[in-house]
Amino acid sequence: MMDFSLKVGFGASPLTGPLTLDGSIDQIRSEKSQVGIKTAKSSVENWPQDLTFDLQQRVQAARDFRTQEEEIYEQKNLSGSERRSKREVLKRQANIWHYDQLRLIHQAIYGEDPVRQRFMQFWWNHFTVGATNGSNFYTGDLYWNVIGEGISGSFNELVYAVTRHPAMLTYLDNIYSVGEKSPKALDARKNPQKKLHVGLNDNLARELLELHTVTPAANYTEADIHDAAKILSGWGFIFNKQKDASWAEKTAGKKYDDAFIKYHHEPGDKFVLGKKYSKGFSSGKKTLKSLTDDLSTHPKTIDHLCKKLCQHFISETPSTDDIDYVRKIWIKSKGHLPDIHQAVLEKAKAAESPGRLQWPLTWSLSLVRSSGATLFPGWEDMKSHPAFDANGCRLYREIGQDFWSRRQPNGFSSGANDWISLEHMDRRVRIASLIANIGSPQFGTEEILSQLSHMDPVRNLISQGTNEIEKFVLMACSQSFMGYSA
Amino acid sequence: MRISRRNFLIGAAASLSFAGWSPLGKASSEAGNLIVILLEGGMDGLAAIPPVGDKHLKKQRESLLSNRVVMIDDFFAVHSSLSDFADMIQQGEASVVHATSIPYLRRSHFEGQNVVESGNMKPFADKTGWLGRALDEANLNGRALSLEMPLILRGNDNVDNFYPAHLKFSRDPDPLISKILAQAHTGSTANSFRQLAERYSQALSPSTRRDPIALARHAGHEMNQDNGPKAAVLRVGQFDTHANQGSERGQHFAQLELVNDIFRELRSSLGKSWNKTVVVTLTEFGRTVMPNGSAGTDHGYGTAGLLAGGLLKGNPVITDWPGLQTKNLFEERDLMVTMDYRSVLAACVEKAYDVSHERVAKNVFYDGNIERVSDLIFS
Repeated sequence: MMDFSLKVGFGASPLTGPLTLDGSIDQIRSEKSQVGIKTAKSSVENWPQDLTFDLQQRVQAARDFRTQEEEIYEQKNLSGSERRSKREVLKRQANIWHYDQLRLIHQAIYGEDPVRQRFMQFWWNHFTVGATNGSNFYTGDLYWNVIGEGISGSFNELVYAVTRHPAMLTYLDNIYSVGEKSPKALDARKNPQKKLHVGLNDNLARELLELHTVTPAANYTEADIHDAAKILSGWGFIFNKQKDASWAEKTAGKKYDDAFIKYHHEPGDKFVLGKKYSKGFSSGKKTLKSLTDDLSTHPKTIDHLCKKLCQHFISETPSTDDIDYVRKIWIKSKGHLPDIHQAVLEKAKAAESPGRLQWPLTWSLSLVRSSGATLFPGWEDMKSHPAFDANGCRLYREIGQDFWSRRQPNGFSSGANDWISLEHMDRRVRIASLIANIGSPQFGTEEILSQLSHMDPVRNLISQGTNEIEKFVLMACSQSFMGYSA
Repeated sequence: MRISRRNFLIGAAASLSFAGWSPLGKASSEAGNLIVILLEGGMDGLAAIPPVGDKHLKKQRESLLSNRVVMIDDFFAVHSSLSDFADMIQQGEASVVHATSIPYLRRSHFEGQNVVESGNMKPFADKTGWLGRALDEANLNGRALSLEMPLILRGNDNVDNFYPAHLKFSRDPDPLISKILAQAHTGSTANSFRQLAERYSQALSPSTRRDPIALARHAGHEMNQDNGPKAAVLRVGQFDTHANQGSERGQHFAQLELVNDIFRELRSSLGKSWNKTVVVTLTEFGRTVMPNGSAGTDHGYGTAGLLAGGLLKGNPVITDWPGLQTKNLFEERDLMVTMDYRSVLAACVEKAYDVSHERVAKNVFYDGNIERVSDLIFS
């Protein structure tokens, strides 16, 4: 049996006590303040305004980064390894996302809404954005502003908001997609000297269907993807490089949260999964909402996501009863996420399941939070010692769960086998002993275990440790604390 | 050498007379090495190994072509980012299989990657991988050079991984603690903790570098030891170039250059064992023949496989070339596949581990109908 606070939150410490079902439901239904620590020794405060970046700042930083990145690729005298190392240096200098990384850790350790954060991280992973084309600068905005707000509303609104977000439009190349009969295509034919790029890019359309919504179980065809790409054409050009000949003229006065331009949009009727989208040329922008609404309410989408939620929060092999219950609530509430999340929590509380092997990220944050350790720097520490980011945020990379890395759009798996290996267990032991050795835990193993349920096997296990540090490592790496793999 | 379909079939028929099942496994020090480089995202075979003798190549994708290529026969060239690999071809130590793919048609990365690693043509139907099952069949050890255990190697307890930690202030895990954890755990975490205890009970390799070249070097050195692993898996990502693929430079070629450097590093670090080694690339699909609107390519079908190692016969290019005229393309957009890449992988297992083609086809790839092509590739 797996402890509820570990299953749906970041564990429990003697400071906050174990999570209850009612308390967890309160968390997913209300927003809590965003917090952090100024220095490793200071108490918890609000996350500072000057380290909260708006979209304008992020767009500018992304542009500067991409220009410098291209300069590296274009230096002809560099060898492959020289190019790779220059790029690494450039990445270390880009500080917006390093603060985002720290903020995510702080919030998990010090925030009052761990359950809400766990659901945010679930959806953030579902709508994966890896580092491509400068998307790393937008990833934090997607997390706090789109998903953080979106999980209080309906799934179809969330899909629409995520699909239009610069992080997604950039990561999956929609910023380059141009309809083959769009005004730009006509322009290109009339004025070949302008050398305008024209053509659809189906990357976002494909993943919108395959990963974000209906999945291959819906038996869509290449033609469905192609037409979905037509609907998506016109979204995101504003986040493209400025050196495109038509960029300045066509994006003038556009707002970043409304990134559609008709100049790139493919006019005419489109057909996706048997439905005709005939809003036509003049209102092409509205077609995307119809498409994402239809995909979000498709039965295959609901099947897929109810199962995925149960696998993540209840057990790797959830019962059909649990999945059916969540599906029933999904349909009844018309995809209202707080209702759906409540259903998942109810079943997670009731399920007599062994749980699942927790993500290394969830596990390590749970260990820090439950023990009251201070493993990570405060934001002032990072300002004064830039090297701190390499310590605090290196954790993500070490455990193979860097949300800001170059990676594929299917996100991190919830399956245990993807997280079990000699090296993965090496990281668990190392991180546990790191916390015990230099994280100054406020609570001993006995105090931590007293907050958690189903821990008798762990008490037997830690009796084999000869000192408190060994006991801490054995507790952290026990099957009950990590979640079951069998 | 380009082979015609007829030669290809003759080769397959002739091989039947060699078929046989040997009940006695070889001692592991006698077995050969099989190294797989996973190319994630869909490698563009026409960019890596352009068929410059096909007059339709220029018509279909002129903007993606580079002038900096090395001719390897009168028809095919190697892109300059693969210069060491081209040298190996010229020295008879490498081959290309072209117009090939795993028979997976739906163009999804994640289904495709699952299928090429599991070796089961039904996506997500298997928890084990073809190389893991091959090692099981031959009773040999394998090692992944990554933090995770890739699906391709799963399926037996004789595989481990190497990807050294870079965690400041952390200490190497105490083998006694790992041993206690191994005893307390059930399931596959127990095996990982047992391996961890063993790792730190021995003298350790001094290098903790983990860039792709250092990992290749580690693999080569370990496989050159008497009781070293007989399989290794390396991963190179970011081949999914939907935009700005490049022609001489760019993302796709930066990744091919990395593959080239891995081949070179493996050859030097394997030492004398290079002679009993085959290195093979594996990708989920090729890319569209024509560029898309953003100077990139979308998900396709046929691609090329790159093979190197002393076990090879040294044919530069093995293919039944289907042609690039639109009417010859798969669904009028992708390079047609004329050889099932499972045949190539099965041949690698057969040659490296001396397991009969029939056993490999049936027990490793669950498909007794896979054609035997070993004699085309290996001497």
